[in-house]
Amino acid sequence: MEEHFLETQDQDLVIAALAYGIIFLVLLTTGLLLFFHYSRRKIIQKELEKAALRLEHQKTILQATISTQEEERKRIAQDLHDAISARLNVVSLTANLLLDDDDLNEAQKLSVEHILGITSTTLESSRKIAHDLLPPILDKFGLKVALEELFDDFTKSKQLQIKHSIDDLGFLSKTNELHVFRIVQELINNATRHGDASRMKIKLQKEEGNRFTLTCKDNGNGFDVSKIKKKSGIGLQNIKSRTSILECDLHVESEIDKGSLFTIQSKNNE
Amino acid sequence: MTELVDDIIKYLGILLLFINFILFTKSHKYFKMFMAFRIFHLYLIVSLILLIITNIMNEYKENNLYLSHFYFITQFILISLFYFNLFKLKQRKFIVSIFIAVLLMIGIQYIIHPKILFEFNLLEVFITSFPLVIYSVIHLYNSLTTKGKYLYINAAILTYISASTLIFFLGNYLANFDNTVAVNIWFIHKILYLVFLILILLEWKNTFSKRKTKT
Repeated sequence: MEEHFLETQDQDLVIAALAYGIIFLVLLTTGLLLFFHYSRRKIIQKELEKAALRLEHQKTILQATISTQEEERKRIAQDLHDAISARLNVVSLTANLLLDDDDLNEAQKLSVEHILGITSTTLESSRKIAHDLLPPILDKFGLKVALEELFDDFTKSKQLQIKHSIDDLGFLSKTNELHVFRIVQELINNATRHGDASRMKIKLQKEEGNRFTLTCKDNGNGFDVSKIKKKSGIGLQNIKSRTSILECDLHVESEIDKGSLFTIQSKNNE
Repeated sequence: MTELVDDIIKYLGILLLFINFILFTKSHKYFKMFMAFRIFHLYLIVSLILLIITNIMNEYKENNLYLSHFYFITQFILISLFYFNLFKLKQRKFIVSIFIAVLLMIGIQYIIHPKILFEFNLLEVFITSFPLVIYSVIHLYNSLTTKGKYLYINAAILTYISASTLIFFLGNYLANFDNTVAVNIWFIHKILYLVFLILILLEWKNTFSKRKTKT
């Protein structure tokens, strides 16, 4: 009887030890899982930070490239104007003077006229190049006029109809005006070159708190937005960088054969 | 009263295993993308069959202990395969060598002592369970820097196998007891098994239920 009692007591002890052992193991594995979970979260967080930093770095480089590019363009345009156009003007004036001279025979006159013709076409092309590099109208008369001139150029020269409504954005700095101008230029270029668009609608709206919205709609071929997101060409990359310099969000809507809609809107900083 | 609770838990386990089996079978068409799920599905089928057989044999008071060998060895094989699918090349070699070593050891043991077929074989319990725990820890390590796959199944395997192994170590001892004393431990085991099945259900939900609404 006593032996049996002892035996059950032993059994109880073993069972209790086993029960605690199981609880211990369950807690241990749960602890391991929790440890894993939190370490993983931390590691992923760090990776994300790193990636964000890398992205930020890339963005800075891109912006620096763009601003250098603009500066170079400005310098070249200036040089073209000062060094070449100014001197060609002198050549043209002198040639005109020569033409008035009665001592010249017919052959010489023809040569001078030839010189005059070449000088004026060269002048015209240098003016055009300088104009493309940096529209002087933007500097002098502001964004609204420059954009309207740009639209007129396209409407005149190509089979593209542009409907537009442009608000005057007085609050933008000169460089930011240039960014907006370049974005619109690039969008029109894309629409005509890649999209074969025949009609466009461009709207630049002023909003409260020095913010603005630019929408640009075309009836071109359209494209797959998800593909663009993965890999975009230089043109769109440029637009993206300029948008981020302007502290705006870029939103693209497009479908194959259904045209595309670009919306650029100032971020809400408040 | 306790018997009733025990029975409820037992049938809940079978029901949940059955639900898991049905859900995994339903998602069968996605298995091409998830090879490891195919193996785990097989594991669920084997578990379900074994569980039903042991319960039937229990009703007729037959000795079903020899089924445990079948359970441990198939579990070892299938879960090893499961991890084999998830691991990288170097770790796969590790699994293969462990796999061969374990099967060799068990085979040799049964040739020398065929008698142990009718009781819990402690060596077998140890060498078929411990590698699985190691694999699951390795998988945790692998998932640290990546978007982890099968984390619920992995957690289920880690907790259930390590805790149940401890119970099976004392399986022979518990089998000699009158039922009233041992029943508590087997009760804990059933609860652990329930948690295991719930985690598997969560894995299914995470992987497949979203996919279903998409298509």
